[in-house]
Order: sequence, then structure tokens, then C-alpha cells
Amino acid sequence: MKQIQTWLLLAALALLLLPTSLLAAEHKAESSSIEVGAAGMAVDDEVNRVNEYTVVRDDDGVNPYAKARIEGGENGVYFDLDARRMSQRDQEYNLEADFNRIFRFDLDYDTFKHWLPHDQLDYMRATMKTEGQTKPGSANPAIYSEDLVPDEDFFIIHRQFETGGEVQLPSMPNVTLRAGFRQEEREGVEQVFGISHCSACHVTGDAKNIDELTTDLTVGATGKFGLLTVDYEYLTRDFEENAGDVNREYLLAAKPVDGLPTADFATGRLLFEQQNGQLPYENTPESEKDSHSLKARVDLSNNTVISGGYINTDIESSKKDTQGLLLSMN
Amino acid sequence: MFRKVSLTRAPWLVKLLPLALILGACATGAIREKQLTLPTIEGAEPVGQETCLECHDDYAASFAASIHGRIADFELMGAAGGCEACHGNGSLHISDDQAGKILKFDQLLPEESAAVCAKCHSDGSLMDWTHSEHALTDVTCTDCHSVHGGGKTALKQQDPDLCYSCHQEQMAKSNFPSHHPIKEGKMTCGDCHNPHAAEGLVTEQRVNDLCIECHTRYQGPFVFEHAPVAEDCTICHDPHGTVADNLLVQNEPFICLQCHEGHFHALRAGQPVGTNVPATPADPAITDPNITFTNPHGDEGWQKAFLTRCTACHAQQHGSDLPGQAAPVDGKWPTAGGTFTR
Repeated sequence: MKQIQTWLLLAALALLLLPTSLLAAEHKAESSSIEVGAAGMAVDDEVNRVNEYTVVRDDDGVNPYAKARIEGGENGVYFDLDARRMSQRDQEYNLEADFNRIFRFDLDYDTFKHWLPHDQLDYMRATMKTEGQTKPGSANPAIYSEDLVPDEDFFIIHRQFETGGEVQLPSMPNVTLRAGFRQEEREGVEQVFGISHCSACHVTGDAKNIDELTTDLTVGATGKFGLLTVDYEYLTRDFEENAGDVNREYLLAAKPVDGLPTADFATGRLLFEQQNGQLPYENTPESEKDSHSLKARVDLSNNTVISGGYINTDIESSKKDTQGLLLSMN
Repeated sequence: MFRKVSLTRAPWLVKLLPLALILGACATGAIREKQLTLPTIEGAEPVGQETCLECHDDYAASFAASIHGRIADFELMGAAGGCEACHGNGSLHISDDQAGKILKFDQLLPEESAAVCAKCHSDGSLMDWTHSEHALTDVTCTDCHSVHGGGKTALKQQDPDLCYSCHQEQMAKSNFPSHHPIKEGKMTCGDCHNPHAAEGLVTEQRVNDLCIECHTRYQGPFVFEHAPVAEDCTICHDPHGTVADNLLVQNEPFICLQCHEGHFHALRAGQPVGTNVPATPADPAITDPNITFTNPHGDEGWQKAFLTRCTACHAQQHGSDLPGQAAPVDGKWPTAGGTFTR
């Protein structure tokens, strides 16, 4: 994704240099606008901040920015480029092209940063039996609570690359074939909450990396047969999670081990795969999706339209190799 | 783990489609144009686009650059092109005494105006136009689109400003503290909404499938599913914007208690874990003495539930493949370990 981003930036900059000389001289560009500048930003960070999406806020100091829009064409070939670069994490590019109406395609890339909230768990003090007793080591707490990463910033950087093309042949003009590709990447750090139980509930807030990749591939066709219009599309999606699990300490459950009374279990340990130690939590499962969509429309006289659709979707989790736990309870 | 979202399967339809497309290639746009119910000008004959531009030369430049000005002849499949494709034949209009004999879109009925556009725009996202909320409320194509120009999407204004000109409640919500990045320019209404569709969304599937396109981590399927997540994201979230964090329609715990009402009664009583709490007199609203509630949160249950966040402990509310921590109730295991705490 970073390579695509660099390529797009270079392409945009190359086109930025064209209008005043080459394109203007050959009368190819029909319109263009360019804006360049700089924005100064002083960021005083605060974990409790609001404003999830404020732009140009992540790069402290003076940041150059540029916007450009160029469209033009000749002899049946048409293009339209929109580019906006506000900062490393705030960019947007769009290119549309049309080759004699036979082949049309568009290409989009955008990225932005989404600040996530940081829950410091201070409100757990509301459950105190005695003042101050919410931290580990307290004598008689109702809930232990810990923010393990009190100074951590949580955020997601969203990057999406999307392209699609259509072919409509003059020899078969009522049929349009199309294909599309979308790849969305989400990287960052999020806050995750875990809870275990010994003499009291123990709630922890920790940091977990985000590294998710969604890839969509679509193919489809549209046919116009007089008053009948038929549209078919196939979508296949692959969702990958590459950040791995986050773990925390869990204690052995006193039940379902045989021989202990239910009451002991109920007031003591809880259910955690019948083992002590570091166990994963806050899993993000990978998955796959396949979808067929078929739609049809018939136009009749007197402004009457009959339309119908059929959709078949399969979604499957890619999660595997997880050991099960056989519960036995007297 | 496998979930079928569809009701039926018909793979033969998919196999037949290429054949149907090829066999139908002989169909023409002229047939379509003749059979649709379109506004017409009786007695008028075509005069050609050049004749129109002799007077309306102010439209020439913007129209030539627009998508409509760039349409190739083969796309029309034998139907009329140029200005008269939409405005009707112009022979009467060019005579001095019958200048009004032309189709002017601001004088047509909404369905007449849309029918002209539907001569070509009957596919893709426009297939359901006649069943859309916009069509049913007499909004027509030219209310939003500038046919002679208007840039890539031929809109009269940019999205979201165009949408906000009517949908002012959504505009207000987009300025709430929790919102999608529309006002920051990172999203538009059109990313989620298809204004031409019957359901008004950019999906033919459930509303969840639209949300999951970006929020794919919640796609599942999960071993332990949370019913409202599988059913409809908008039960808990308002995508247009909310005062509560994370686009929640209410703050916790009240949003959770909308469904998990039993906790409200049990936790108010503040009885020890595992105790069946009589509804009366603890809750005067319920007068049936046979109704009891089990308090799962102990002596400080009231504080835990009403002065903290449910999701600080039940953090996997979107679903999980791992069993949640749960104590047995009345000597029985709780249902499926689906407490979403891990």
C-alpha cells in the first residue's frame, strides 16, 4: 500500500507540472486548478481529547499541502484527476479515464487517521467498598481496575485503494462488462479490555496493535435487452488480521475440576480453559465472503416498472487450530 | 463455522447469464425508446444538435465536456442522441410562433422527467429508481443533477451539501461529537447511500453488509454471537452521528438495558451473587411476587452496572470465538459462555 501511495503522489506531482506548459501549448487540458500552501500546527496532546478526525493535526510544525484538479481530453480520450495532499496521513487521489467510451476506468486512493478514545477506567472508583480500594493489592475491593498503558495514544490509520473498469464494445453495445478491486488497510493501536476473577473482578485496559487488510474483487455484467435490463455481480472478499493475539494472565478455574462444591466455584474462580497462565483475548477472526447478486428490471407502458433481485452470500470464518474445552460438571 | 445468508441457491442462473447476454445483443435502444411512456411533442421532427447550438451556444462548452456530451453513438443503440434525445424533437421549437414546443424539464411532471432519463439509466445503481423514496416523494433527477455539466457526477452541488439542503436532521447529527468523518471531507453521504435505490443504501444486502464493508472485523461469523450485531448494526449505532461515544444511540448502561432489562431490576435490589431477588417490594413497578431476578454482580451490583460501562467487562459485545467468564447459576452452566468478556 505504501508503494501505491508513493506512485500516486509522483503521478500527481508530474501532472501538476504539466498545465502551464505542455498541456496549455497543445490545447489538451480543458480545465485545471492548483492550490499549494503550508499550514502551521501546534498539537498539545491529551488522551481524553475529542475530535476523532481533525485534519492536519498529527504532524506538529509547518506542513506543506497541495491540491490539484486537472481534466481534459482529445480524440475520444478523456481524463480527470483530483489530488489532495494535506499531510502524510491525510491524502486523497482520484483518476478517471475514458477511452472512446469503449474502456472506462477509475482509480481512488485515500488515507486518513482516526483517533480512538482512551478509557482510563477512573469510573471504577464508583464501585469501591472503601476509599482507594480499586487497585491490585487493595484489601477488599469490588473491582480491581488498571490502565496498563496510561500514556498511550490509540488510533487507526485507514488506507484504501480502489479501482474499477468497464468495457462496452461497439459490436455488442447493450452488454457492459466490469471488474473492480478494493484493498483497505487499517493499522494502528487500540485499547482492549480484559477481565479475570480471583477474589474480585480484575479489569485491565491494555494496548493492542491493529493490522487488518480487506481485499475485495468484483466482476459483473449488465445487459440491456429492449425493455429488459439484467445486472449480475460477483464479489469475493478476504479479510486478514496480521497483528496477532493479545494475552493476559488468567487463573485456573476451580470448576469444572471435580470434587469442589459449586459455591466455591461461584465465589472464587471463573471459567478459563482449565489452565493457569497467559491466554489470548480480544481475538479478531479472519473471514471470507462470496456473494452473487442478480437483478432484473422490465419497463412497461404507463410508467410501470417491475424489478426483482436475487442475492446469495456465503460468509465463512477462517479461524482454525483452536483447541476446544470439554466441560464436565457434576 | 459457516453461515448462509441467502434463502435459496440457483447456480443455473449464473451459468445461463452469459448466454442470455449474448443472445440479447441484438436488442436496441430504439425499441426501448419507442415502448416507454415518454413525454412527446406531437408533430415535431428532429433538427439536429447543430441547429440547437445556433441559439443555445452558452451550453455548448459545458455540455461537450460533460458525460452526456461524450456519449458515443454505439451506446445509444440506434436511439436518438444530442439535445433532442432529452428535449424532444425541435422542429416546432425553432419556428417563432411555437417556441414553447420543446420539453423543458422544470415544466414536466417528476415521473415524466425521470422517464426521459430512464431511457438510458435503467441499470446498476439506478435499477430501483421508481421504487426509491425519492421517486415516491416526487423528487426527480433534475432536482439534484445538472444534465448539461456539473462535473463528474453532474450534481448541482457537492455531496454532502446537496443532500443537506433537504436532510437537515442528518446535517445536524453529523456535527455531533461522535460522527463519521463527513465534515472532515473523508466521507460523503454517497459512500453509504444510493439515493436511487429502493432501500437507499449502497448495497443490495442487509444494512450490516454495508457497515461491514469497512468495519470488516465484525463480519464474523462468531462462535458466540450477539443477536443485535448479527441482525442490524443500527439497533445500537446511529451512523449519522450521536452525542454518546462510538456512535451509540444512548450512553451505557442505558443502551444495554434496553434489551437486558432483567439486570435493571436485579441490580437495583443489590443482593448477593446467586440470590433470587423477589421483584416486590424491591421494585414496586412489578407486582407479581412470583417474578424473581438473579443478581450476577453482587453487593456492589448497582454501582458496577450504573456507574461504570458495561463494555469495560463485556468488551466483546460484537461477538467472540472465546468463551466468556461465567459462574454457574443454580448449579447449572450459564448459556453457552456467551457473556462477551473475552
